[in-house]
This record gives sequence, C-alpha cells and structure tokens, in this order.
Amino acid sequence: MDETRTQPKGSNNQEEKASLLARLKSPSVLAMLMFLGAVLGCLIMGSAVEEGAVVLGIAWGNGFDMEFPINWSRPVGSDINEAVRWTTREGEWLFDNMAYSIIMLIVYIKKGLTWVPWPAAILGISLLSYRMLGYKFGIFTLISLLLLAAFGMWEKAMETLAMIGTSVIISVAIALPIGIMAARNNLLDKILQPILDMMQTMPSFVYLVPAIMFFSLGNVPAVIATVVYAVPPAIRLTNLGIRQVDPEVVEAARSFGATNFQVLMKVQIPMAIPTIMAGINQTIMMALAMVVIAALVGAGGVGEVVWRGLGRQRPGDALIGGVGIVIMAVLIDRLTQALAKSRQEALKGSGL
Amino acid sequence: MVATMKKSWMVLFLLALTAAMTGIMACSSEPETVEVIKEVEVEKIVEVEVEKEVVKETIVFSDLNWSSALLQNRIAGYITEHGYGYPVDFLTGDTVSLFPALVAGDSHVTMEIWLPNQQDVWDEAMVEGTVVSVGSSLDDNWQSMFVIPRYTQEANPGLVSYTDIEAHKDLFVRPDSDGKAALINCIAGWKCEQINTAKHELYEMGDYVKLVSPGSAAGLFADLEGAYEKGDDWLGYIWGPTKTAAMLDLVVLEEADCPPGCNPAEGYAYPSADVLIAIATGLEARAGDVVQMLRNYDFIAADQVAAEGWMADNEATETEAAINWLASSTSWHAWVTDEAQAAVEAAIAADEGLSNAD
Repeated sequence: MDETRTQPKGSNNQEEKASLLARLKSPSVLAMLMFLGAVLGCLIMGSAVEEGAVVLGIAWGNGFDMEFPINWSRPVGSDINEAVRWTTREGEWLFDNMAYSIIMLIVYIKKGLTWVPWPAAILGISLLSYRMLGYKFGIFTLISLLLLAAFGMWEKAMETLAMIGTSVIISVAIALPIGIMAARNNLLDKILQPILDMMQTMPSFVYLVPAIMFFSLGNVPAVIATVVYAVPPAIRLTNLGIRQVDPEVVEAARSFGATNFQVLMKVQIPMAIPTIMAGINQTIMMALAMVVIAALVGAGGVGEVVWRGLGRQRPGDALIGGVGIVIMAVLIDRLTQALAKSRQEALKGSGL
Repeated sequence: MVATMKKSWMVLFLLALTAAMTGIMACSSEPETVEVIKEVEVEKIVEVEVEKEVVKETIVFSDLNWSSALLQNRIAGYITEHGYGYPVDFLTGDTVSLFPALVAGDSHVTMEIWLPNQQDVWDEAMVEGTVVSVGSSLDDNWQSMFVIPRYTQEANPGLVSYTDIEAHKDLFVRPDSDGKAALINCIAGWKCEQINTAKHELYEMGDYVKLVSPGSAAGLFADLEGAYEKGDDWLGYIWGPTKTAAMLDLVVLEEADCPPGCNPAEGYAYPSADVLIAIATGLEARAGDVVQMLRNYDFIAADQVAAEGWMADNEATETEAAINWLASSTSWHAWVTDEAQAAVEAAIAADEGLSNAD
C-alpha cells in the first residue's frame, strides 16, 4: 500500500486549499502584488495628480510660514572663504610638493601604460582574463576592449587608468594601516566612524574647489577627490576583516608564544585577506565612480568624453563614454576578484 | 499560522485601500481657476462685457550658475513680481540642464544665452521654433584666450601680445604640461573651446603651448584665483563680466581686431558675444507685458561689474544687489510701463524682497 499517504482521502481538498493559500501568501507573490498595486496606483495618481494636489492643498492650507530668527550662513561662509584664501597663500610650499609627487606618479604610470602598444595590451588582458575566468569571459574582454579602442577611447582609458591606479595605490597605502589600527583600538574606531561617513557623503565639489586653488587644475585635485571618496570602504572592510578573525585562532597562536606583532602579521592579516580584498575591490569601484567628477576638474580621460558630450547637448556621445567606464569597471572588478580568489585558494592550499 | 494569515490579508486590504483612496481623489471635483465672463445681452443696444479675471501664473527663470545670470534673473524677477504682479520662481541648474528645460517649458525665461557658445543647440531650437529670442543684454561683454594677471605683465614688460608668449613660455610651465606653457582652455562643450583649439593650430603654438581643459567654469575660476593668491603666473581663457574678472586685475594680450562679421577662429580676437534673452514659446500669450519689458531690457556689462564690486564690499547676495541696483539706477525706467515703475519703487521703499529667492 502507499505508505506516503498519511491522511484519509476526504481531507485532500483541505490540503489543496491550504497549499494554494500558502502559495498566495509566499513572499514572492505578495511582492509581485504590491509591485502591481504600486504601478496601478502611480498610473491612477498620475492622471489625478493635479486635482489631488489641489485637494491636498486645500485640506492642508499653506502651512506655517515661520522664519528661523538667526541666519549665520553669510558670516560663517565668508570666514571660511577667507580661511581658504589664507591657506592657499601660506600652504604653497606643502601643496606644491604634494602636487609634484602625485603628478610624477601619474605621469610614470601613464607612460608605462601607453608605452605598451594597444594590440599587445588588448591581447594580454584578454589572455589574462581567459586564464582566470574562462573562455567566455576572455572573449567578452577581447570584444569589449576592441570596442573601447574602436570608439577612439584607448588613450583616454589609459589616462583614466593611470589616475585611478594612482588613487587606489594612495588609498590602500592610507587605508590598510589605519584599518589595522582601528581594528585593535576601539577608541580610534569610534572616532573614525563619523569621519568616514563624512568622507563618503560630503559632495565632492565642496572640497574640490579649494583643492583646485591649492593644487591647480588637473590630475591632482581629481586624485585627492577620488582618494577621499574611495578610502572609507577599504578602512571599514580592513577593520571588519581583522575583527572578524576567529578569536580562538588568535588564542591558539598566542598560546604558541606569538608576540602581538606576529599574531597580526601571521594570523590576523592572512585570515582577513578575503575581506580586505573585498575592501580594495570596493575602493576601485568607488574610484571609477569618480571618473566624471575628475573630468570636471581637468583630469581628462574617459570622464571628459562624457562631460564633453553633455556640454554639447549630445547625450549619445556621453553614453559612449559612460559605456567605456562601465567596461573598465566590469573588467577591473572581475579580474581583481578572481585575483583575490586565487590568492585565497593558494592560502588554503598552504594548510592554514 | 493564524498570525501569518492575518498579515497577508492585511497587506491585501491595505493595497485595496490605497487603490480606493487614489480612485476617490481622482474622481473628486476639482476647483479650477474660474473665468468669469459675463456677457449680458439686453434688449437695449449696449453689450456689457465684464473683464476676465485671469490668474497670473508663475513665471520661472532659469537660474544659471554664474553671477551675472543670477543678478539679471533677480533684477528681471523683481520687476516681474512687484511691477507686473506675476509670482516668480527660479529653477537652479547650468547651461546643460536649463536649455532643455526652457525648450520643454519647465522654465520660461533664460536671461543669458551666450552665442556662439551655445550656437548649435540654439540653431536647432530656432529651426524647431521651440524658443523665442526677445532681446539681448550685457552688450559690452568680452572674452579672450590670452588673459594674464597684471602682475605678470608688470614683471615681464615684453609680454604684450600673444606672439610674445613663446619668449616667456617658462613663466607658465606646470609639472604636467610637458615643458610647455599651460594655457587653460575654455570649458569643454562650449564653442569657444573649438575656436581656441583652431587658433592654437593656426598660430602654430603646438610646440610651446599646451591647452589644458578645465572641465568646468568653477574649476577654471578656482585655478585662476588660486594662482592669483599665490602670485603665480597664469595664462588662459577668461570672459567678462564675471565675478572673477571684476575682482582680479587681469590683462588681455593683444590680438588682431575682429572686423564686423569675422570669424575669430581665423586669427582674430573675439568680438563681443551675443548674449540673448530667450523665452519659452507659451510666455508671450499669457504674459505679454512682461515679454515687452524683456524686449526693452538692456542691462550693460559695466553695471554688472559695478554690482559685483558692491556685492563683494557688502558681502551681499545677488537679490540684495539687484534691489540696490534698482534703487540707485534709472536706466530700467525705460524698460517698464509707468505703473510698473511706480509699483517697483513702492516695493523697494517698503523693503520688499523676492518671495522665492534669498
């Protein structure tokens, strides 16, 4: 006999009804219903909005029109203006040196990148992505890089890559030590949180205009803006990665007589590498997001293609530039992730 | 089990309620603007027509993000609001976003369309008939790609015309300009960029001048102001009337004068640009008096420079500068009707500001 049937025949309808109801209550069905309801609601609202707005207006009236008694924006604003001018004058020695080193770094990277002729570079990168990610992605890489070059953006892509590369090097150099220190020191962690939040949300142009006054137009303010925007994820993820290392492993290492430094270098950092690499990957992505803003301060590159297209009211040109940035982002993202995974596997293989 | 059942029914009920509420709002009667036209036909001969009571709808000005446009917007806006009684609002943006807004009718007046910078989009809009030009302003404007600070010229008396740049190129070299003089170009997307690049080739300056693209007007002015503060030498494209040109002491290197109808790209200095006032096509029909004022409008660049100076000295906003100009100058009396003039003067005397601008 059929031993799977545990209930008598008569209760089948109940079971079927219950399962239908269960399917109706499933999250995906409910989500779909809510989405359709929202779309329908928007359509109705769209046709009703004028009347609706008038109804709402009459119902609520004009509200309370109370002006706040104090307005400090002007005196404080002009004080800050004066402070920026003062810093421009007095800080010249510092800013010129910083600018010089950043410019030299970018110039060397760019020279290196453009020294390689484009066929060799495209083939090389495609082969690399084939080795690490399989033949499908290798073909995708080849096609998309050829497209990039076909739209006349190769040289510009190299410029952008040089600027991004410099920003990422500087960001990682700043973020890793700070992240490690924050992982070990709770006070530093608490102080850092609001600072990192500010770095990520402050509109770039606010600190870009003073940066242009200090460092003059070009790659330097762009690198500074990119570093400010891209450093927080690296710091946060380094901090997180090290804090999340299993405390039992750390205890085991200590019980073997490891000093604090040895625990950090040989246990915590190696085990936090996946998270740290995720942080670096995010840094690179955020840096690519700043490419158009970099063009606004004269850094050139693919962002300039976008900006020029917008300025001439030709969104098609701007879209081409945008696709170029997307191609670069996808390639760098996948390749660095694959690189991180292969390192992880190598580490696992070493018997940790 | 029962709790989850109630939750999903609750969700469905809320959805139905939302749909019902929107439906009710859609179908509710709408109070519209009421036109009262009474034509009383009596057996007698006289027909009496009562005047239409038309609600004056808001006029939106394109608040372009540079100081002369902001000031002109507020001058014209104050006259429109207090002289002619239309509510006035300002739409913030820049050339890229505000020209399509004008074409679409989201904004109604743009006080500064600089030709030839926006020539291409302007010609297109003219062909399609989507915007109307009603006059010009800032007739005595200027622009040049060979602008240097006065202290640079004083320190190097031989630097008088653009041909002297080659001898003095070391003054303008930057670390990233490959040993050539850095000339900060016009903003990408403006026509002046193409004209400057054409002149760069024509004058064969490729060996000793590198064109640097500033990306944005803010970047261009910030670069000049930074260099000026530090006392560095600077060479590049500047136009006036702008706040920076008014505040800093700048000198234009000499170039061949542009005879009327010439093309500066063929080796001449820039002539004065046409700065047009453009309106959206629907505006004349509903606000003919304001459009007539705009046709008579004629704000000169010298007044703009004076206003910039006043704003800097008094740490004032553009609205205050606009009211100050209206109070102290009489040239606007010619643009407006007598009632409008009286109304504006009364508003100034009553210390009234603009309702939608600070």
